[in-house]
Amino acid sequence: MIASGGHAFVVTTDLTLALDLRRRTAWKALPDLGWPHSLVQAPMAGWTGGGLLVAHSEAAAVFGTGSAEEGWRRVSPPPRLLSPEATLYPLSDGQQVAVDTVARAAAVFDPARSRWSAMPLETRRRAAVAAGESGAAAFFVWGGSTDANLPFGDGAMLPWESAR
Amino acid sequence: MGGWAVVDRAQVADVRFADAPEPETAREPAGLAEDIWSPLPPAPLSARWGSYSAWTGSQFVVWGGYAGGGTSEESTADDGAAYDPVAQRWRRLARAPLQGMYGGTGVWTGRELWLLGGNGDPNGRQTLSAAAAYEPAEDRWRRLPDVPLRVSAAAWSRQTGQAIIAGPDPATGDVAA
Repeated sequence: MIASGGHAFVVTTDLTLALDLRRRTAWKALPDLGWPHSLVQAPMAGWTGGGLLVAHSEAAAVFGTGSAEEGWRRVSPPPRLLSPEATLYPLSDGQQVAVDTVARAAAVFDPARSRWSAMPLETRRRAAVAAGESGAAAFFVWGGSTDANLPFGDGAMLPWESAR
Repeated sequence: MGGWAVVDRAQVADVRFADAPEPETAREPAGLAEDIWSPLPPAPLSARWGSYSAWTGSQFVVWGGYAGGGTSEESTADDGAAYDPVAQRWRRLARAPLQGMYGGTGVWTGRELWLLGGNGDPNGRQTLSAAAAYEPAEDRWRRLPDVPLRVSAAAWSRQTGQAIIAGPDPATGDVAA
């Protein structure tokens, strides 16, 4: 779930819902993106500053919430190496970092530029993660488990200057 | 502080609109850089998964989780720690007013880390509605009203100063928020 721009958004495999937090009206289903269902099993979603970014490995779009710009517009997709396990986390200036602890990859994403890095950690799921919107570090990963539920006790961070 | 309010049920029936974007064309992946991540020093916590976590602006906070994996010491964790990347140092958190939990949802409000429900037993059968807030600046906890849902997702709205949660309605199983 994302809460920004006066709205809350829920992005599922089938549709995107928006709730106007000020008016507290009913949830509204946003227009269908028209992507093949097989491509959007686990879409990533995040707030870019100008709207709601929804992305998977091959396509991305931003939904603007302003009265003059309401609707979807396509933007550059994140790099293909991200798997359906990837998740978007907000950085400052409306940027998003897409992190995939299974593929051990990360990408800083905005419509104009993306940059790749590989995490120096074993493949893992259910790790504790956090994105730094300000401060010394842009992203942290700690703990998590193997597919067999064996827990990890190590972690890594992505320094902010590297992410930008 | 007020309690939780169910604002509306998601209306998901009439969904489809025209004017869908064209399919995106494929592009080549960028190269990977191997040297920009930094390993964290060892934390004063046992290995675990499903922890609650947040970045506070100066610290990476981790609490709870489950240390499962076939050992005799399996348990839900009720402790936590915070890492300061400038000082490159971990510190343990004050004791929380919660039993050990994992797999729930955490949300950062700008001042506190809110822990909103979770699982309390190794099999995931004990759903907990307990909630608490941790204030890193004071290393202090306070209890919050129990959450009215099994929380699947949560977000903090800076504009309205509210936490928005979503999950299955206990009565119907439908998505509620």
